[in-house]
Amino acid sequence: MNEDTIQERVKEVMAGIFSMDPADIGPHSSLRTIKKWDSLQHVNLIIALEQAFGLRIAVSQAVEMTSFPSVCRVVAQSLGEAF
Amino acid sequence: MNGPVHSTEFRLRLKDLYKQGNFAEGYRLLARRALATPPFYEYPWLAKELARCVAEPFTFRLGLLSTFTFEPIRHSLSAVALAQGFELKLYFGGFQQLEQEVMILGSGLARHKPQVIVVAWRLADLSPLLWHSPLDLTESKLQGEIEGVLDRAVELVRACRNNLPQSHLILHTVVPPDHPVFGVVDFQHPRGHQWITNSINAGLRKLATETEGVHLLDCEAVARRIHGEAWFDARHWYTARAPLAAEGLVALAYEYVKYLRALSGKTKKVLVTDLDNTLWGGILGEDGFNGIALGETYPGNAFLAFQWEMKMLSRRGVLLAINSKNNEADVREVFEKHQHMALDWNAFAAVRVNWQDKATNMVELAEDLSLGLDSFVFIDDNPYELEMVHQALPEVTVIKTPKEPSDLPGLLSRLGYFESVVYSDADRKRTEFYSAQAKRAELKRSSRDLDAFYRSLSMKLTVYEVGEAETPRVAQLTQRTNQFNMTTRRYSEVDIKYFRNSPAHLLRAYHLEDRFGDNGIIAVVVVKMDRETWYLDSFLMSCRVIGRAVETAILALLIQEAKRASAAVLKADFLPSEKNTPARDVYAKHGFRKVEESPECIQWEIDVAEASLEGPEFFEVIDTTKKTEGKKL
Repeated sequence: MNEDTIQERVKEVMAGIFSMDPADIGPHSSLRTIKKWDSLQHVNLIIALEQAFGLRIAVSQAVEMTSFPSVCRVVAQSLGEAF
Repeated sequence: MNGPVHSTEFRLRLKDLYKQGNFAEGYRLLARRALATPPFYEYPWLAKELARCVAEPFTFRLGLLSTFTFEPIRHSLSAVALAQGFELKLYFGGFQQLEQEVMILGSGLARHKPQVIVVAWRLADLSPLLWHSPLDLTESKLQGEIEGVLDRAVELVRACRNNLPQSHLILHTVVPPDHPVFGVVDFQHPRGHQWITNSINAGLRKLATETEGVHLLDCEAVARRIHGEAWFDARHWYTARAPLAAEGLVALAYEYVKYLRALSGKTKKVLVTDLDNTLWGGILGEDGFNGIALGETYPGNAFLAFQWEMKMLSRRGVLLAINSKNNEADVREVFEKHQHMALDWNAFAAVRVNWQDKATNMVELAEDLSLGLDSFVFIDDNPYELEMVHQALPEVTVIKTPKEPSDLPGLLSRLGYFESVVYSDADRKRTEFYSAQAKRAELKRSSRDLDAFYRSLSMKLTVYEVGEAETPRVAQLTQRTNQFNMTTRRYSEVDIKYFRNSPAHLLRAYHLEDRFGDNGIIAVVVVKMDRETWYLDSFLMSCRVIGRAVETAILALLIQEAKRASAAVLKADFLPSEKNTPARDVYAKHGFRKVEESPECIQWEIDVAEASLEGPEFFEVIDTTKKTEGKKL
């Protein structure tokens, strides 16, 4: 899976969790800019990513995920495709 | 990997439907998706869109109290409930605030005025001692700890009955740890975790039995069904105090909705079933008594298990009925003689085995049983039939059988349409009562407006001159088609090639497309031409498309072609076989004259010049034979 595909899919997953339009998610999106991104939704986000990509995110990785770019990075790492 | 449901395609389709104001169809798409175990992250979106589309939801006020973070169930619970017609107003109690919510007047819970209160607790939270170190407790301390937990439950229930007397209460039972204190022998150990949870649950059972309006949710059964990491997710527990994994939350959502259905009296009463590919594998009319799949090996064993499930429902008071396109005599033979049938004919309170459309049958079944169609659930393998019933009778709940027969057993239990909170002896006698009533009933048959339904299918019928590419399928159809087959003459590919090249034969294939997809070549006609006399040697149609007026369109096309070729008369035979009863009246219905009748053959004819048969206007017809103007004689 290449970088673009990962980003597109992460956008779709995040859009679902935070009830947003995927087009409104980008490099600027983070815990600070997305109001709905609280600790509960964070759990849902992890579940969603795990299902969407068929992977498992460890707690240590989960705490690193605070923005759209860092989510993409964790997903790529977990898929063994660091970029 | 499943693509997210809010993919552009799905969104655009919904947007279109919204623009047309067709929220009913939007609701159906979303509900189907929500009930088909989508990935967990789709639920928030599904819940939001379902709430927008649902027409007349049954609103339910639900309060959830828990000893852990339970908020993550919100969207899946809302979506699963909405997909079954319940709109939930949810209130989540404060973290670990069971007593406060119930006992303090004017608490958030009290202000919410819940019709149902769920109490979800874990043994780990109720008694950390019993959970983590039961071995540190003496026998009497252990007993005391168990009683402490039960006392808390009793007090909570009492406070609920006093302060919120209108609310039903659903208590979770407690579940032992995945890895209990005595390991492999825990189950049989006199003081193991299994014994501890059993003791607590027995106390809860007593409490629920003795107190009106208190019900138990067998959490251990739910946990067992999904078990392991799909139930309890250590990561979310240690980081967010949210112990339940996605699958566990969804499974609980289903359990709650079952209770809501039962408590609100929305329990369905009648299960109407199709036969072919539903009660058994295969098509009785095509595969024959010995050809249907039912028995000890797959897929017959899955269908058999489904029959047992239906039988259990029937013993529990659910009425069973049949709505099937078949010959009743053939079906009865299966019920009476097939060694593997679990259901017998008397298990059905009412039966419609015939060739009329299933919506009409459904109305008749409702009249027979004197029950409203909103209490009907209909299961069938054919999307066309389900769509037809849904469009004509939207109050009927329709279920499509799963693609894999192995997914069929358990499906009805999971959906919970027949859940009830009370069972009595009367339930077991209900079938007898209703079947007697059905037999007495004087039936008024209403004719329904089928045209509107046919129109909505956007059927496109193409007629071809058969070429090399179509030859194998055409031969195959002549060999396999039994039910709608006027003469049951079987032809090989060599025969078909001969007809193609013979100037005295006319060979036509018909291709049908509708909005569900491409049905391929579904009918074949062979005409022998002898100067001005056309003889319909073969006319057959796949049983998949019986009951859509395709035969009318085909005969109209044929007569047009005969007119173009200046034929004077079209003759046709009906040769009765064991299986072609469904086609018996076709010529009579289309204006043919009966010339002669014997048990072996009924001869028909129609004057081509005078024939006024018109194809139904709801077909888009593409006649590719016109270009060649037929063959000149």
